[in-house]
Amino acid sequence: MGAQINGMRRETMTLKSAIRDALCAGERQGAAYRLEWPPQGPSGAMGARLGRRTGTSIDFQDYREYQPGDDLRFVDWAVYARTDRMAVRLFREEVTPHLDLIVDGSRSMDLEGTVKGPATAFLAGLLAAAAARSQCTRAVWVSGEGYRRVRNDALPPSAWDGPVFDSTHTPEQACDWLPPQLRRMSMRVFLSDLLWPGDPARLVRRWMAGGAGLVVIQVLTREELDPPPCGGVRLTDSETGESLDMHVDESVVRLYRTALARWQQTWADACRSCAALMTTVVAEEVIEGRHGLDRAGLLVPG
Amino acid sequence: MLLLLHPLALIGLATVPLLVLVYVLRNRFRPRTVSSLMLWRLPVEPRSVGARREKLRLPWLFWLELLALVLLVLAAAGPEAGIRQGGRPWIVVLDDSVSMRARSDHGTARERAVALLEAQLRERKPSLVRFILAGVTPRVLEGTGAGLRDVRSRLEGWSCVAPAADLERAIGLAAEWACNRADVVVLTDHAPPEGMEPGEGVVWHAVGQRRVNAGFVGAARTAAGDRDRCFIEILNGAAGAHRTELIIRLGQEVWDRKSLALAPGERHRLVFELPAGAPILTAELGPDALDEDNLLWLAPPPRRKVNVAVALTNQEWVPLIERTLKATGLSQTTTNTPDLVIFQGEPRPWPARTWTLRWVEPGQPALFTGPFLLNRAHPLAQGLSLEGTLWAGPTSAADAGGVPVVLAGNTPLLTESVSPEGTRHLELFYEPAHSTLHESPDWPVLFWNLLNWRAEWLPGLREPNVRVGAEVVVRHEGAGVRVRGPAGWERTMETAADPVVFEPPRSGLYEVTSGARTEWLAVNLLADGETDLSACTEGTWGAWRSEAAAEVHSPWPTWLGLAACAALLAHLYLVTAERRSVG
Repeated sequence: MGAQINGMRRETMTLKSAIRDALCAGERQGAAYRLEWPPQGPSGAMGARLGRRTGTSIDFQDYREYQPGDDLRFVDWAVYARTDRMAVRLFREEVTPHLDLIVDGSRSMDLEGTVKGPATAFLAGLLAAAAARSQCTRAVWVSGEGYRRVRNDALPPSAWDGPVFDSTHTPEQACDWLPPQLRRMSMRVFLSDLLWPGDPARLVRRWMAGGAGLVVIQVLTREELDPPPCGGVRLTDSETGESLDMHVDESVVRLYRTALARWQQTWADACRSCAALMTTVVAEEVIEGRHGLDRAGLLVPG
Repeated sequence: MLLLLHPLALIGLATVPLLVLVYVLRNRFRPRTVSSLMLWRLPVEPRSVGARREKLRLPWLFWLELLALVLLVLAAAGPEAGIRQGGRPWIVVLDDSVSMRARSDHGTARERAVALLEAQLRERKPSLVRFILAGVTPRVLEGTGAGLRDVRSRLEGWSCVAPAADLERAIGLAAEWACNRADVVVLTDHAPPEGMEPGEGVVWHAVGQRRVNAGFVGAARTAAGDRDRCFIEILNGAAGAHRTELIIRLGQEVWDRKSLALAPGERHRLVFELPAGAPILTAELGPDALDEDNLLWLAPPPRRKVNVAVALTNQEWVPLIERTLKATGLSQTTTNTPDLVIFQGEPRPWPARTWTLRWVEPGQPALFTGPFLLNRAHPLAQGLSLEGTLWAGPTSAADAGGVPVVLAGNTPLLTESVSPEGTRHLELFYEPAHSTLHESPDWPVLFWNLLNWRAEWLPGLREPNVRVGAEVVVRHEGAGVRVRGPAGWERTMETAADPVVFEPPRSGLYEVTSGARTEWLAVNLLADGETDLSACTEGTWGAWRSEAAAEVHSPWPTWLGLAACAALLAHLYLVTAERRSVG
């Protein structure tokens, strides 16, 4: 797959075809992975997968003392005969886990001249395919003027009609206007470059509320991680259109790296405070097939 | 001290601000889209303390372009450093003629010139000094040191014995070497000639003085039958009247003594005869400023006879030939190896150094009345006219060999051929019975030319009395030549080349020995220009080279231009590397 993606010439790819190709590539690679759930196990509506709580499956989980109102069918009479105490057998519940994939749809996620957009689409396709192999339902949300589901997101990623990265608003603003309808106890994965000014803790808390877990994946290009000293430039914000004239030399690059590290640490602290997980991937490496989500513990082969 | 030959070229530095402006504008507006300005704003914040002046930061390419620009402007401006006026090299032209030996109360002109030169050296301290001796032809003294000791050592080679000083050629050579860098210093005893204005960079010092002087300016001693005819010319080269005494000696004995009263510029000529075989004549004038022109030697002229053998088959013409030979006065009969054989009949082998004249009488002669074609460059044709001459010669050119000397149409009448040994063989096609040449004046002229030509090829000095600077020719027939001159001068020439040529270095008597033969060679100054001291003067003309005119051919612009090229090449390399990395 990576070779196929590498085979695509960046210059000749149009945005849409590049995104679709990346979704297909991610779908193909995701077929080799399963989602790794949080330690407490998956949650969700009744289904065919064992949940983290007691339920009505045939898998024994524990005993507890009988209480009035308990179904007498679950009283373990053998225990009562041996101990003269009424004990009820508990079984694990069977659930249908759900993945809410939240994608930052702002323009910065598909910066001109970079592979950031295809890399994000590749990750989305990869996670969706891995979720399907884990018997997990999913919903894909893209930010814009509020959050909207990607059309056909229940179908394989190659059939999705998106995501489209054309928003000039931040994910936080979109969440204020129209938040995504995240399923309760669902697993949430947030794909974004996290490059907007705001309060990371507020957004992390919102994504984490009512969910089983949250993984924040930061997608950055190599230049964003380590910009070269390119001399005098007029920097233009891809979303706001603001410009900034400056001379980028080694000292400025050092300041930039410091600021980026500080910002990433802020996000990491916010995630840690909410028991969420955060990882950073390099767009160019993702396109080359080295996504690193298995090392982060989000995917497992098989 | 830095000197700019073209300071107006510094206007080019006005392009430097333009370059800076171009870079500033280009750097300010190079667009680049980023995901967010959030992280980029952080390095330049906080701004709450007020406006801050941004330091202009420019790439390597800018500095390379700036360097190339400045180097090119400097190269165009023609900088020159390191050579001060006093430090500029000198090329000193020294008058090497005899007149520099003219003595006054303050020494000779040469001594005054040396003193002046040393004073100038102490004052101006040139970086190097090169000497050119201006004699008949310019010569260079070795070495370029500017130290006083070194200069004094080299000036010992300045002997002032040349019969003339070609200062113009020497100055031309010096100017060519100077290349507008060095100053040319001329040391002589007279002012610059008319029409010559020493310009900037040429300093003409005259250290001469008008002194009383008379000297020999012309002399000759030639053979005239059994006597030697002598000619002596004396010039009063002083600005005023001069009285002196002339003493003429033959050998050690005084032959004549007389007192001369000479007006300014007057030439006194003496013509007298001496008996043949008289010894060397010595003439002497009374003491004056210049001693070198007060002595004269005249060696006896050579009286060489050509040994002629006559072997004619037609005895009818033997008396004619013998009378003719006797009339020339250059021949003698001998029983030894002849120098010249006049014969009739078929060619025969003769000794290696024997010249031959083969007289051919055509059986059926053709009569030629002219015009006759003569090789005027040939020694035999000198003085021949052949006007009105009837010449009965051969009917065709088939019998003739060699190079024609006299032709009638395409019929050769007198031809010459040269053997590998250098001997000449002549063929004369002449039938006297129908001709008038032997009755005309051209007949003895022809034979005199023949004998004189042959006599010139006999061993010995060609001319025993020469001027200083003239070449002396000696024939030795392989015996070699040894010459001993005044002041111990000696030269031996063991060579197969015949004749040998040498130039006596100074006036005086020389003994020339070749085999068993010894001859005297008299070398006399005989130079009007050196005897005439009336034009000698003191003064300085010209000017030292100014700073601005110096170093037109300075190497600095070249080096600066090369450095600019190197900067531009580095610029090209960086641009190419940058494009390659972007691609």
